[in-house]
Amino acid sequence: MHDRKHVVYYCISVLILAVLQALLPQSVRMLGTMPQLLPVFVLLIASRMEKEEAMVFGILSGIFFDIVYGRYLGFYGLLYMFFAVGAAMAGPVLLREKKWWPCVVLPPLLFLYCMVESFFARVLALYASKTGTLYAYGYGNHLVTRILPQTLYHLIVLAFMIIPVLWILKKLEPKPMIRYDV
Amino acid sequence: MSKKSKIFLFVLIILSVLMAVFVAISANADSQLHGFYKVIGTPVYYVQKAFSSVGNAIGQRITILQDYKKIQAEIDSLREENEHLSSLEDENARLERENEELRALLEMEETIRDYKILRANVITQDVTGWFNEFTIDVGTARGVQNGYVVITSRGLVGIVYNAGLVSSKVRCIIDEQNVLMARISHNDELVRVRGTSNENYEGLLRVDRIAPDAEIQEGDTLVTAESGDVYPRGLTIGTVVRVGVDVDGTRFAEVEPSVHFSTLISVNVLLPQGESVPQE
Repeated sequence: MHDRKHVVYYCISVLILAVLQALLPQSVRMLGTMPQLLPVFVLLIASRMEKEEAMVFGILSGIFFDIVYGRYLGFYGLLYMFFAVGAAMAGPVLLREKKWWPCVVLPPLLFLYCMVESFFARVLALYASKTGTLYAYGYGNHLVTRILPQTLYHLIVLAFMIIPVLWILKKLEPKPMIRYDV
Repeated sequence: MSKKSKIFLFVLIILSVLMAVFVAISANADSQLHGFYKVIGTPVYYVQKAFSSVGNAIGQRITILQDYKKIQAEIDSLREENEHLSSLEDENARLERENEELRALLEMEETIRDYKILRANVITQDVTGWFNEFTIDVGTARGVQNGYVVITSRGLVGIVYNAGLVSSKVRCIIDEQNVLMARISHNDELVRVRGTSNENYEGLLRVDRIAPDAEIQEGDTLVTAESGDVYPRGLTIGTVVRVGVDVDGTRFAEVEPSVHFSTLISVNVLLPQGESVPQE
């Protein structure tokens, strides 16, 4: 991805997705979790960016999410930034420019994202409330009731999103110049 | 390491430190950083409200479609029943309902007589699952300030913690940060109620500081106690569902809130009587 003005288009897409999130009714809850469109979209796009673009895209998306849905300014900014950079760096290193690398890179990355998000959310909750325990029912219960269902829902959202997004990305790529050798 | 990589790493570290500072500052309830929401959140509110209205309409239509057969059967059943009822019995039922509504309103009126009620719609709920809060479509332009109490006819909902110009964020009572004093309705015993970790999506409250001789049992109703002029006295909090003993021998209880937070569509904000309510 070499045309950096596309970062602006992606940021606009993030604004639209963040507000579209409000359209989802509570009846789509599965195992207590709601589908989250934004983290999947950000990581999917970032996996095909350079790491500098991914850093900017991640932090802007995260800060906007903090303003609309978050409680602590900077929490999702930090989280999205690092994972976007991670997605941008992991793909080329592991799979050398294959088109289908998001399918392999993103699931473990989404699982790691859920683990890190839940850990820091609990730490912040303890810091703010000044009491309580990190995992009230143990980490095993936390993994089964929060992390795995959220990861599963992220993967379902990814399955719906990946084909149309990659198709749009392909259409946005600059076409190669045709050379006429004389 | 190339020069470009060094610059990238430097920028990444600076941004990380900046974000961590923002998080640490915004974790403080009195942080000035909350003013940032008022600037950015205000234009976002209008778009949120539009999409929320569409979303609610879509949700209602989906519910109607899902319950269509059940509703149709109920309608048929009600039509048959209605033909057999005499006009006097209908009038009697209507009067009874009015009587109950008036009694409920009268009780609420006595509890909140020092406040004005400002009706508000919920425009966004928490989607992350980590923050028990939601956003309402009223803000400082309508007289809402941080610390104002939010209720429904079923009971206490929460407290405004980030009031913007046209929207406000409300923290639910089930959030871990919330602590309030309450009384057991049948014997007036004073206890402390706090939100608990929502890891299992239970959304329960925990009661502690129960006096050794205080009677508390399943089915008891808890209401708010006078506590530093934050909550009006007498608002329903919830019902005790379990009483237990901690490892240190002290008693605790778990309370199911009277309000279902995930299905909230509209709430009421309590404005102190001295405040005027600017019109829309």
